[in-house]
Amino acid sequence: MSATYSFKTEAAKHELRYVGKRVPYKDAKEKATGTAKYSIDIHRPGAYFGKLLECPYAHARIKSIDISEAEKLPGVAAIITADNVPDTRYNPGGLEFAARSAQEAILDSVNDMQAVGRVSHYKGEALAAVAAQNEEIANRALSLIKIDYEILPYVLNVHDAMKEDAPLVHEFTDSNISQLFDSFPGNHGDVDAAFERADVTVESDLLSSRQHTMPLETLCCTAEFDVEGNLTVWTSTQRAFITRRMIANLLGIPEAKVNIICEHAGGFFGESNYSIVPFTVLLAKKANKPVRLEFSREEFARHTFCREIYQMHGKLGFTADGHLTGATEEMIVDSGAYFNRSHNTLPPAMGAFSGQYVLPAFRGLATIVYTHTPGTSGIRGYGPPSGMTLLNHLMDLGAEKLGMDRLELRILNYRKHDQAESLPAIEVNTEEEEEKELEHPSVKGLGSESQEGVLRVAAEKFGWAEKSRRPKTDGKWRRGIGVGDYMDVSGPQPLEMNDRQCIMTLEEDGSITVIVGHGDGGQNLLGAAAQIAAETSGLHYEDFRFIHAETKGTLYDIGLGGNSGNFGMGNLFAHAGMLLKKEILKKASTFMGMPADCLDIKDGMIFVKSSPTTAMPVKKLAYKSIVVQKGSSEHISITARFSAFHSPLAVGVVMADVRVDIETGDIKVDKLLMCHDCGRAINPMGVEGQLQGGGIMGYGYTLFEDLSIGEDGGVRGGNYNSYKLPSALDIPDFDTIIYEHPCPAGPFGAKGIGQSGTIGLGGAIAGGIYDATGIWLDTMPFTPEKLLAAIKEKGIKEQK
Amino acid sequence: MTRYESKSLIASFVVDGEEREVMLEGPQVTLAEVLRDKLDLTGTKEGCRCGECGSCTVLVDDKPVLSCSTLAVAVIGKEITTIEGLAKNGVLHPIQQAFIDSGAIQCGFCTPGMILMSKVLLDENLNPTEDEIKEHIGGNLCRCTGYIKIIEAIQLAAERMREVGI
Repeated sequence: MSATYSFKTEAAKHELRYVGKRVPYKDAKEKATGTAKYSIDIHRPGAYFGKLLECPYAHARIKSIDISEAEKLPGVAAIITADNVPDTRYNPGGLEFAARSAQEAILDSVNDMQAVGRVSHYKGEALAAVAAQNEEIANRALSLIKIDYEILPYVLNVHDAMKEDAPLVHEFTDSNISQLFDSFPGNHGDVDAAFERADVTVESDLLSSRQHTMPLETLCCTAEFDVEGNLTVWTSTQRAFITRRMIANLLGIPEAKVNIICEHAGGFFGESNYSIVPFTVLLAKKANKPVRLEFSREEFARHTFCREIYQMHGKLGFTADGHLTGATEEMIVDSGAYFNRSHNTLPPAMGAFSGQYVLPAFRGLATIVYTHTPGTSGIRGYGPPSGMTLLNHLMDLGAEKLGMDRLELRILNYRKHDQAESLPAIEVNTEEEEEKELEHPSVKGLGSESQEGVLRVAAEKFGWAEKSRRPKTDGKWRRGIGVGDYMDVSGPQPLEMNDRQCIMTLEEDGSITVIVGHGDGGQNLLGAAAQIAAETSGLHYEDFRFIHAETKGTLYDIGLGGNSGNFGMGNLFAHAGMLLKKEILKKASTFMGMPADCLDIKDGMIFVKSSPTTAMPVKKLAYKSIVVQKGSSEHISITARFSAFHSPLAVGVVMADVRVDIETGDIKVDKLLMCHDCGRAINPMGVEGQLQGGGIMGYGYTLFEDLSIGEDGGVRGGNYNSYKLPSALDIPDFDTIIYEHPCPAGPFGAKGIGQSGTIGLGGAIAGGIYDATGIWLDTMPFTPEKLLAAIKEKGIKEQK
Repeated sequence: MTRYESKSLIASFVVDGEEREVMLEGPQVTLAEVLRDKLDLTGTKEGCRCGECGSCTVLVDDKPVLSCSTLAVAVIGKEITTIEGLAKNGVLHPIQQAFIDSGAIQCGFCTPGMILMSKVLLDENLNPTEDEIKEHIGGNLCRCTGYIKIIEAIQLAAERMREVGI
């Protein structure tokens, strides 16, 4: 049985009207009835069938390409190749649009992708595409395209790629080392001296695996131009406006001529890919017809980005009483054929490693390398999952060498409350008085001061002390417990923007229409936003209706990623609700003949504070204002903006009770517990859902998910029969604790949540395996095969 | 150029209680294609097209089938239930309501198949154990929820259905 628990610190205990309530999600009904439309469900009348021509080589150059016979085939509307599309290079993640400024970017964005090129950089990369009346004609057309390839040598791992004579993945570079990250802002102190003065040092390695998002909906794109050259694109994207800018730039047309529509997405878990969009759009342009291009599951595995692969080496130094003296983290990052957001995940990866504990000295170094494999990028967890797995092991090694308890060693090195600095004020476009009206608990801190509390609450619920005293040996089983603590952010700021804006308008029926540029991937961000806005405005949660799914008519938004939604959107809606309330009361004061500051709103009712029975429904005010007012008709409407400059830390811990079969290497996780400080749970059901979902995703990544690449560089399989996702039969007993220690900068104290669930699993499970067997597997995923080989090597035998 | 295609046929299916006539290009057309492309019932999803994910689950004569791997010709004349046919006169099925109330729906892509599969279980056993539930939905993949709230939703639906004596 999996249970959920709640732990509230004092500041979180007061009851609110909507915030903190388990409100059913706004779009749940349409999803439960099958009426929700995803991009794969879009069928535009007259749309042609798009298909990619995939290069069969990991690295090859087109010597000659002849599409003449294919073009003549009846039913073929367009064929695109490098010869007939723009050759601009761009960053596939649209990275340059997310950074606050070129100066603030820690690493340079690299524009290494072309819409359709002449060279393949990974096996299967598309060097042509076809739009035809149907799939059969498209397939025939592809077979009629004659290409003469110059087959070139390739490199499939970072070590080969870094050799001096290695074949270059990109001809415009002079090395496969795309970036060297040795100036991480968190580097400080003298690490060599720190290790000199340490009484104990520990070091270890970890190679992470090819972890893919694999959402249930594969990518599908439909592109359609109208006679004025306006383009409409239906696709799954978590960054609709960035996608819009990329396409506008590619076509050389103004941004507002492109409308990106994403109403529902069947899961988005990171910066997977937008390359389906350029193909579809360019085909539609050439054909002058709508084109629909759908990736098969296997194509999705080949053409979308998975998590970067990190080869990591970490070292920690301790004094004899357990205080950290310093740490180093070195990593070589396989970014595959394209750079995408590889560098953006490094600051969080380094930051998590260096920020988890009080460290007098830290040095981080990362080398990002191209290889001839499908591109990698930042996906859910965004850097920390791999690094924290290693860091937790290093702490366990330290505890072992020091003869200290693993939890006490961590607590000793956590930041104490008085070491946490208070957060500077957030910048919003409201006046100071409104600032005070918000629920800002008086707790100061960066968000990380709850580390010890989180760990202790988790340990108690998990039964850490009792489980530690348990005999480790039980016939063929070895038992162990592991801990994976972590720190996550509440958005990518200040490295990237987390700027949000919305328009709220009161309709004549009293409902509120919210215009905000943001698609939904299932996190119920809009529902939570409505809860917050209802709380600060005094209006009904049910009355908030969102226009959000198209870039046309909505406001520019940076999109989602890096735990930015809860904090960025949440703060936006807290302020928007207050602004709307202020406008409503201003209007009400004219109708009710009372100064606005004598009025308040609760449950959709405007009332006189000193005499609450003197009241007027907001609905009535809205109607009178629009329909019946003398002189002019007026919508009560506000525009709200929020810019986040700081990213409060959301801390947590995962604990695992692990059992290993020394005869087969089988790993059983009997119990998982996750305790996450989300600041304030706007909707506890939603928070639990994110923690549970992220946790099981992290569980899959830790124990078995790994996209297999063959010797020819090609993805082997790529469907669910070869890349196994956790099923209901695979999940362990998994308890979650929502820990609420409100953060002053968060909306009602809320911090980041969406990706945090993935981070602590590796550390907890690997820690459990190590506790049980003394074995550290230095390559993910931690499979029974690897464990069995290590067990045999170590000579562990069954105790009868 | 006009040509006559000998493999095509017009077939009749009973979908959500309604008789529907559909033109099939040949015997290779799947049930999923009939539902999604020809009848515009896009509630049934396709996540893998190889029978691995369960998103395409529909009921044929109350038994679950993977519609992506079922030939349409094999179910001619049979009673097909899709997610669109579950609610009656605008009233949601208890399983649908329980999924909504439990927060068991995130992106929603696995939801139609998951709900229909749950219906098969609860039609047969209104008191399933947690293990029985996991066994039963083991072939329906979900990437978002981690399954815990889905299991809770099925338990909640079972409890409510027991209470009203369904």
